[in-house]
Amino acid sequence: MTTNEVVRGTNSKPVSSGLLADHFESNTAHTGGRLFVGYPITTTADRRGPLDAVYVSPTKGVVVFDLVEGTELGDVIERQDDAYNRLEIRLKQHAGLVSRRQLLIPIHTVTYAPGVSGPGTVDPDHPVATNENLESTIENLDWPDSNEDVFRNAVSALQSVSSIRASGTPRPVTTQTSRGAKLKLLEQSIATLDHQQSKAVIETIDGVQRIRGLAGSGKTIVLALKAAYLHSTHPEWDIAVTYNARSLSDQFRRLINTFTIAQTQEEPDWSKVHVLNSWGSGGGDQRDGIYRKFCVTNSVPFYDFGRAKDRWGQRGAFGGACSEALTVTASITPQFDAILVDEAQDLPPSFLRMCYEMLHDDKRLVYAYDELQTLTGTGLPPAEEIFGVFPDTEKPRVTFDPDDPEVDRKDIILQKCYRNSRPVLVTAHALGFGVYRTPPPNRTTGLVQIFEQKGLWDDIGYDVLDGSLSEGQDVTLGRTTDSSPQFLEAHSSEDDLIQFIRFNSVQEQNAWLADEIQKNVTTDELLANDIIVINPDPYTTRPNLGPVMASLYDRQIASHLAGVDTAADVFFRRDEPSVTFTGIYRAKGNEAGMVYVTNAHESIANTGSLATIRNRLFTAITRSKAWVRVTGVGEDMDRLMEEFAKVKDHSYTLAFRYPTEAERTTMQIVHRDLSRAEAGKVRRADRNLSTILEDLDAGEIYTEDIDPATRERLIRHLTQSGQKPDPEL
Amino acid sequence: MLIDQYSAELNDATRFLLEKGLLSAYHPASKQDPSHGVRELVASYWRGAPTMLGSIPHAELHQELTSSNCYDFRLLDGALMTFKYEFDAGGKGLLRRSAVSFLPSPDLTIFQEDPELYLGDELFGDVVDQRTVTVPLRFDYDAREDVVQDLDHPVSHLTIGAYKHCRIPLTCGASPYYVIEFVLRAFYQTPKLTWTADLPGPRTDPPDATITDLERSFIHMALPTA
Repeated sequence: MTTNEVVRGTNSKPVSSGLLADHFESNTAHTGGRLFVGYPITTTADRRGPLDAVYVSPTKGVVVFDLVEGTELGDVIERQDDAYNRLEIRLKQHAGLVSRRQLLIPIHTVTYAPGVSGPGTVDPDHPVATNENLESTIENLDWPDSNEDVFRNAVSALQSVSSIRASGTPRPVTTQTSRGAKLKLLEQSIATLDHQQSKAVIETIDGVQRIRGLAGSGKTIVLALKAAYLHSTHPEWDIAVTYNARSLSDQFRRLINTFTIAQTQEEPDWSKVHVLNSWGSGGGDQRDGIYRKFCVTNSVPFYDFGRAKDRWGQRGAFGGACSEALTVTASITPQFDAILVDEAQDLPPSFLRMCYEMLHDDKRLVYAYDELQTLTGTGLPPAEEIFGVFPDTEKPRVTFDPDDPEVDRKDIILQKCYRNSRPVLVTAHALGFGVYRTPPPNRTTGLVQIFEQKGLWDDIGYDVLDGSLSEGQDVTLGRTTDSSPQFLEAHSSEDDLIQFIRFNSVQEQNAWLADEIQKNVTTDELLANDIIVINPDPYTTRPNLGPVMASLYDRQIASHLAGVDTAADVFFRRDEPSVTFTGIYRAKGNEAGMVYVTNAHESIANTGSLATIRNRLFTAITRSKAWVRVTGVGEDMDRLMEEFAKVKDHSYTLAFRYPTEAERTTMQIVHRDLSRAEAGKVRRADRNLSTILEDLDAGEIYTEDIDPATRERLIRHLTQSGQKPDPEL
Repeated sequence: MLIDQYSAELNDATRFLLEKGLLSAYHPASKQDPSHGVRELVASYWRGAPTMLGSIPHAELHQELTSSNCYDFRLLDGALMTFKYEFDAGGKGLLRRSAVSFLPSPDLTIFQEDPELYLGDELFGDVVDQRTVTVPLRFDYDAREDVVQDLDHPVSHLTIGAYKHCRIPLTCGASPYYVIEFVLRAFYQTPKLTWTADLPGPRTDPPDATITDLERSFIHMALPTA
């Protein structure tokens, strides 16, 4: 029997709620179910509010708790009947919970009054439990035809996530074994939030909350649910939801809409819930952004991308603009009661700082991110650095101290991946880190990057299968069925889930791609929306993908390219079937059943910016709900093929020697993100040194010819190698 | 037949623009069945399209067309192109009327201003403060006797911007190749980036001139005529 999962939301009855939650978490409690405190929200014609607490159990059904905070019981019957009716209306909307006109899962009601002494009443229809008989009251509840699937459906319905997996477009399927049929089954699998996700949605604290999760762990869903939940419980709050990639705007709007309607039967009040770009530009609400709102409200100059690029360079543009705005504002006017930030790893720290400053005193900032999906080379610094210190006390504004008893409500890690199957995810990690990359001649490890904190491996769902995560030691890491649900891979063989394919030329690659897509939308019974084609390098996206789109045009298969001009903030075309082609930036946050990653060989032989390049591969591969095809050309693709072969040889586990500190520092330097100008400098420096060495070797110059001061400086640099680069660079 | 040649030019151009990565989205035009003595070459979105006449301000029109996906081409910098052709159903199948628009995006930087922004798929490329002053163009052709007026309403003319009565005479009707070639060369080429040399076409023979002597005696634009 598994223990109960308890999620502590807020209601107006903190003491009795706390005692109830403690009871279910303790060993004496009836086990195997889930307790939601202050959740879900239910609505009748005249009232809206959260139920005090709901317990769902595979053996008992649904138990709604009416909590009494003090000593006065009041009209127990009326309250219990009301709660019953509200929940019944909610659950009866789900076909999976109803047979004929009856609910398949019983709803029991119990009043829990810990402040009242005595044995409680025994009216079987309206039980009142005190501390003495809480356990026995629950024990007496029964569900004669208990059913695991119905239980899961009930949890799903209560969490408002029943409709998540559905693609929205009806999927006509004639062959039971086609890819279309397999996707249909995947989509029908019952979606429920796991414990960590539930906590992230429901447990609201005053102050900053951080949600870290790997790709596919549901961060976007969790944020959207949280926004809907906060809006439903606090309709007077101004809540902002923001993100990096503009293509997420449509997704957030739809999710928040769906979840709010599920909970309140009404659409959200969009004048209170603001789905905003991070930067923003003029020309209407749809284009507005957090930074822009800050500038307008505080009357400071607004920099658009062009001007910011001129002033702070292309990579520092947004960070510079936010820092500047914060600096020149004398006194910041708070605008929001809560701000939720998705894909925070691609936003500059000064932006997060700006969000913090734009909040009223309670500073309810929630930021979600994935370390490995940093597409611009710099990960997020620790919270202490992002938010700085209070000027008077010098203490950090935000900190996630592991010793803080509340820390697991503030710092949540989503470790289950619900999108990618185990083989796909492990391959993505292997490539992202360079686990099986052959070390270049002068390096002792092929790894390109690695977590600084070893604990993160466990946090993202890897178990140590062999060896240990210690410097210089061999270790083997693998994912379990717990962290990588089986149903995600059960539908296809491992060899079908992810494939790497090498071609002799780009033309061959493109011809194959067009053929495959044609097959996908015909015999494979996939919809055009099920397919995404990603080119990882932003600079080559249009020239590379154009010919494939033209090829599909010849076959009368429509396609579109998501780019800067995707003005409608829409990634997939909804008006008609069309295959989505995209660069890496706009692919973020989106997913599809069949993902093609093309031209994966580009830049893979680089040293500079290699971490970013591999992060792009990681992000591209993890877009897939089912199948991945990674294609590339020539020798460089051969290297990737070798790495993938090793992943397969190790049965999709990561086996490597854990790098030493010196090796980790070198990695960070050597593979750091370089702008094109910087990359050019590195190449020229290398060439110049080679020329000098050649001349020395040939005896055309002597080391004694070099100015002594210059020699000294050179020797000093060479012997001090292995130190972190100057952050001012 | 002329309609087949125009259709082929549109197809060639669509494929060409896609291949070069200049198109983000498109709707293919198709030859409709003859109706009321007329045969149209149009894309399917026209049926549900919002009113596209000149009375709506350009910025609104552009936004409306973009969000309802009513265009033949959406170019990489957000500019739209729409095409509508009407031919005689019988006889020689000559061109009766046509309207071709080029609608640059009012919100985004024009391509020539910063080609790298689009070709490099810049993440924040759409963050543009000034609503840039962009000018829509329309190439119109109307051979109907009751519409044509010497100099005031030439058979084939170009309208610039929102000027209702701006009709710059053209020497003859412009087939798709000529309009697209013009747009590419004028708005999407830079010293380092050229496309038009490889644009396939034209598939039409130079048509008879429709311009009058009076119209020729003032500023006009010339296309090859017979």
